[in-house]
Amino acid sequence: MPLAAPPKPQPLAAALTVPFAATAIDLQRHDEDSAWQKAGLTEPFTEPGATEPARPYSIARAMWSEKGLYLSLYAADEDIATASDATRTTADFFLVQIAGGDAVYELDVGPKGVRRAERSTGGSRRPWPVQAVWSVAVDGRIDDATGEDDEEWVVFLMVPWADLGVTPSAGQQVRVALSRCDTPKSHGQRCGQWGQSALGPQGVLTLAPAATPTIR
Amino acid sequence: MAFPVFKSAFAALGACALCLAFGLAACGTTPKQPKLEPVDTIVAATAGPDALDRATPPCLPCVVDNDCVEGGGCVTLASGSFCAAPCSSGSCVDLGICATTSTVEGVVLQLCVPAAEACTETTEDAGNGDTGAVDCPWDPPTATSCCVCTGASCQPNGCYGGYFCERAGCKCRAANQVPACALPEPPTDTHGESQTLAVATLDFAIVGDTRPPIPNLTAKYPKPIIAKIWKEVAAELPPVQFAVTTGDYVFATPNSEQGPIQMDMYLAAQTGFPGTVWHALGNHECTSSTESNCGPNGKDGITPLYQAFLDKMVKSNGFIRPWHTVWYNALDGAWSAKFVIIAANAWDAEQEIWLAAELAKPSTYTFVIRHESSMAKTAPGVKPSQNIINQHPLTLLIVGHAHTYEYFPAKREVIVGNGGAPLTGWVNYGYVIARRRADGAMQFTAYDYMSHAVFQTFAVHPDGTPAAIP
Repeated sequence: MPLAAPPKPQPLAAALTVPFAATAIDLQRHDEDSAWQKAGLTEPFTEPGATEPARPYSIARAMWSEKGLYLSLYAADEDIATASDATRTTADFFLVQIAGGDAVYELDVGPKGVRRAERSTGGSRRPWPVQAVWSVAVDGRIDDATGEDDEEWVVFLMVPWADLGVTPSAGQQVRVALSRCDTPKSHGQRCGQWGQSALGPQGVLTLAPAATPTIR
Repeated sequence: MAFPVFKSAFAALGACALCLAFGLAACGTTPKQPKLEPVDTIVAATAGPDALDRATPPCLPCVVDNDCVEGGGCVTLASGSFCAAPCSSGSCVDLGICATTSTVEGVVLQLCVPAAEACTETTEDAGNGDTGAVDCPWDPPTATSCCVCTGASCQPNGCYGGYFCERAGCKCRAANQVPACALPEPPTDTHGESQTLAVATLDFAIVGDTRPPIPNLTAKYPKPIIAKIWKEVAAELPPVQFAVTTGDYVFATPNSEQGPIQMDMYLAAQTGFPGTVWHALGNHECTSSTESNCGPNGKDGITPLYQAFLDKMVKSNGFIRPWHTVWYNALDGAWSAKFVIIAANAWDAEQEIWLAAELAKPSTYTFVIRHESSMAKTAPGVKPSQNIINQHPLTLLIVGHAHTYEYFPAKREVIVGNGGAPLTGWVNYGYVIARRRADGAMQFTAYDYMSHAVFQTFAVHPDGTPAAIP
């Protein structure tokens, strides 16, 4: 009697507890800022429906403060490229989708920062005047035609709660979808995601409370 | 170790003859080495230690021209190799015959060539005491000896200025006037380190970059991936004898304790493979920046992370510096293979000089291992080392840095950077196995670490040109 095939591994549910950042985060300090060491870390991005990490590799970290949601988006990338016309067929980019109220807010972020911000409600899209703050750390050369190998780029981003129409509080859940597309050398575009679905952002960020004082 | 014992047919030497032979202008000035034999006193009187530096004792043994005085050379006689002083025609006196001759290094000079029977050389094994220790009758500056010196700068051996005391006659001699047995053992921190091993076949593995995506994120160190890779390497049949790695074993800030912790995790995973692993330095073992340059002469100095790499991954293999050569030579002498490991993120002039000399040494196969590829020009050692590599024979340049695998036949270069570090391309984690074929070509197979599927197979001749896959 043939053995039953083992069940196919299911992708992990995209859920993350997001620590509260008690001190101001300096987005220019990047990983030297010790606060990032305490940030919540997603699982590596995967191709839709898959369990193995997508190639090339991406992962994200998150923190929150009363001011906004902080995201660090890591992209391993052998050929860091932007496209002058902001198309998605050749440029490297992250797509950050955050559900707020009845809208989905979308940020298109490339190796040089935010390229596009839009808000969609009920199928209609319009520009989103978000006061996001960001910086990008690059190990490599953007748009280098010599073919020099790059290593990675990391976006450090803060999205103000006010621009999301959200009043944050400990225990609150925020739905987020993160995706990243890249065009490796000698290969077509490849994309990975965390929390993305056809129904919209399905990754759950749970805002952790601030550290509680010691009870005497 | 065998020590040469020399017998000289020259019983005495006229000091004035020496003066004339070496064209010393100032005979008769105040001696610099007091209370010496009259002969040496007169020689010393000419111009102090410099005069003695230019004096070639008879039958001084030598290996290379530099063993002899400036202008002289090391010549081969029937009885061995000995220093010959420079001369113009007819000025050798009792030192031999002035002749145009070729030194052991092929340099043609006019030298006072001793008669073959004038110098004889015998060797005796003095290594274990059973055959009897051979006396080396020259005492170094720090040893008590019979030379006598007065003044504030006297050494224990009775000389000064770093001179050795020759017990026969209690004469002070400069270092270049004494045989090798008198000289101290070369320091362990030697320029141009290499090891040589004899093997029946040439089979080795190549493993690439292994590190977490974010600095100090040790919790996400890819230990399961690298442990699986080393186990797969160990399971290859026929077994591979050794491996080379292309650098980047950690991702940590230079002063954090996480760097050494991650390095230990790597080494623990590596124990799955029983052979020797020769580790190249990556930029992440310096400061993590591709432009970083560590080492005593590098702008980033010796970071704790760099020192940890030296301690755990270089010295453990018997080397001092992160740049060195390992030779694997056929037991039957049919071929030789040199693995030249470059540290492009610890680059300096000394390494540059070493690399040029190293790549000039003939070998059947030459493999150069460097972290960054020829395309990563921002790493300090890439351009200068590549210039040197391009001028010498090369079988294959093995690199990492890009977290992927790719072979460039025209450049004779293979990137193996997929040892667990975040993948930058579409190729999965894996490793490469290299094997020497019966026809002399080297065949390389890149494997997926999980499925053992073959990414690619390619082969090269010893000169790096593509060879057919049977």
